[in-house]
Amino acid sequence: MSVRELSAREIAGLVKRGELKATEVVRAVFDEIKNNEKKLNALITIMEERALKRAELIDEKVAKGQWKEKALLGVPVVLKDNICVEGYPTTCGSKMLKKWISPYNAGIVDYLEEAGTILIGKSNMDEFAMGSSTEHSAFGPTSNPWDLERVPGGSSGGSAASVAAGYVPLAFGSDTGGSIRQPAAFCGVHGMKPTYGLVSRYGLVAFSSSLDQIGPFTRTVEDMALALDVIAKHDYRDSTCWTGNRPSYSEAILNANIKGMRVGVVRDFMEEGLDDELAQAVEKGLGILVENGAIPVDLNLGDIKECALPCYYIIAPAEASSNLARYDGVRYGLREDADNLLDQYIKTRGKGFGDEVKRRIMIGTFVLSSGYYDAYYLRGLKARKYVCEKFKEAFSNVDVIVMPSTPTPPFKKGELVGDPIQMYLSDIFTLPVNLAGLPGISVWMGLNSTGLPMAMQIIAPKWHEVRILKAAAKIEETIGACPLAPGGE
Amino acid sequence: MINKEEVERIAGLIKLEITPDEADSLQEHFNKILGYFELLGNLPLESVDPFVGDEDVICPMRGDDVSRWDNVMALNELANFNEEGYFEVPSILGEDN
Repeated sequence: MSVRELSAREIAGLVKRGELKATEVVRAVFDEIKNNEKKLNALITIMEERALKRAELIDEKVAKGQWKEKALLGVPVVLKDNICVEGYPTTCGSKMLKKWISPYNAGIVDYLEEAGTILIGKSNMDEFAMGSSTEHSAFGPTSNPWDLERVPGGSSGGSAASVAAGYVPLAFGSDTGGSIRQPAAFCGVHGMKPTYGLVSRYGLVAFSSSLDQIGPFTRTVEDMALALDVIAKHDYRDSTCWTGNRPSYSEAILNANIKGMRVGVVRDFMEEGLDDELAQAVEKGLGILVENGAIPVDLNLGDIKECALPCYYIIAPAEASSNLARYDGVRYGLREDADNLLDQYIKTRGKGFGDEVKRRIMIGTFVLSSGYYDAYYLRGLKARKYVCEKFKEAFSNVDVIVMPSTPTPPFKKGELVGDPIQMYLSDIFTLPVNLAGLPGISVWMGLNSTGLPMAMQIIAPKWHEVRILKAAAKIEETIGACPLAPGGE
Repeated sequence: MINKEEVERIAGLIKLEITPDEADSLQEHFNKILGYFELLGNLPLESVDPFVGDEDVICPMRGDDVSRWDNVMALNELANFNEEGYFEVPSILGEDN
C-alpha cells in the first residue's frame, strides 16, 4: 500500500512502530504534489524544507523511543491559507495579503504540532473565505480531483482537493456558511464544521466572527474523530472558545451503537431544487441508519430554507465589512502609494480586494448604514433567531437531523461565477447550521451515475459531535471510506 | 432599487476605489441580492427578538495576567515602521490642502 492510500491513524501507527519513517512519508507527499499540483492548484504555499526538518526530528525521536504517545505522529497535514503559521505567508487567497508573513502560530497549529503532525502546505481558497467554488482566489482556481473541469467547492476547496487527491489524509479549513461541508461534498471526502466555540479560532483570519469555525477534512470517520481529539480544546486566547469538557471522540465511536437514535428528516428539503440522485443518496443514508436501529422522524423546520440565505447574506457581509476594514495599507498587507492618506486607503483597498470581496463588504456596509439598518440588518438578526428557535424545537424531538449537503453535484468552472445568487444557493443546506452555531458533517455517499461525488449532511445539537460521528461511522461501514480521486494519480 | 450614485456613496463609506465598470456590475448584483433579501418579508418576525449572541455560551473572564510578546520586530517589519517607533503614512491632508 502506498503512503497516499494510508489514513492518518495508519500512518501514525506505522511511524510510532518504526515501520515507516516520517521522512519517507514526507518524500512521498512531495512526489505526489509535484506530479499533480500543476493540474490541481490546491496549494498556495508549499513548506517542503520545514516539513523535511520536522520529519527528521520525528525519526530521531522515534529511534530514541520517544514521542510514541503523540496521536498523529508523522501525519502530513495541509492548512487552509487563512490559518497562521509563524514565519510563513497567510494570504487568505488575496492580493491584499500576498506578502504578509504570520508573526505567530494559530491555536490549532500549536495543537497539531504537539500531536506530532508535519505541516506540508497552505491551501488555496476563495479570497478571505468568501465563495463557494475556489474560483475567487488571487492565485487562480483549484480543480476538482474527480473532474478537472469542475470546481472543488469552496471556500476551503484547496484543503478538500488535497485530501481527495491523496496529498494528505488530513487537512483543515474554515466554515462560515458551508466552506468545509460543501467542498467536502464536491470532492468526495468527509468534512466537519464543529459547534461554534468548540475549536480555537486564535490565528484564523476573521471573516464573520459570529459564524466562523475551523474543522477537519478526512477520508475516514476514525480520522475525523482523531483530528477532533487533537484540536477541540479550550484556548484562552479565543474569548469565544467554549470552556466545557470535550469527550474523547475516538473512544466514543468505538463499536458505535445508534440503536434508538431518533433521526429527523426534513421532507420539504428533499423536494424542489434538489438533484434527484442527491435526494436518493440522503434516503439511502437514512435507510442505513434505520437498518442499524435508528428511528426515523419526519420534521418540519418551518421556512428556514427560504430565510437562511438572505439572513446569512445580511449578517456575514455586515461582519465582514467591519473585519476587513483593517486592510488599509498602513499596518500590514498591500500598500498603494498615494499623495495623501485617504487616497492611500482607497487605492490600496481597490487594488487589493477582488470582485466578490468588494461585493460583500459593499453589501455589509449598506445593510448597516443609516436608513437601512432596521430594514435589513435588524431583520437579519430576527431571522437568525427564528432559525435558532426552529432547530431548538426540532432537537427536542430528535437526536440528529439528516439533509443534503448541497443541492447539486460539483458544477463546471465558470458556470456560476457571473451569477452571485446562483453561487450563493449552492450553500443553501449548509448556511442554516452556521446561523444556529450547530455541528454538522458532510459524509461521502458514493458516486452518482456520471462519476461525481455525492454526500449527505448530518447535524446535531450543540456540543454533540459524538452523535454525528457515530451516525457517520455507521454510514461508512456500509458505503466504505472515501476513495482517492482519479485526478490525484 | 439602488442607483449608481448610491453604489459610489457606499464605496466611499468603506474607502474603496471602484472603476465605472465595477460600479455598473456592483449596481446590477446589488439589486439582485437586495431583491432576494425581500424573502425575509414573508416571515412572521414581528414578535421575534433579534439574535444578540449565543445565550448558551458564556465567555469567561480571563485572569489579568501580563504576558510577554517576544516577536514585536516581526510585527514592525510588516508595516512601514520608522526608527522612532511610529507608522509612516503619507500626509493626512494632502498637498493641495
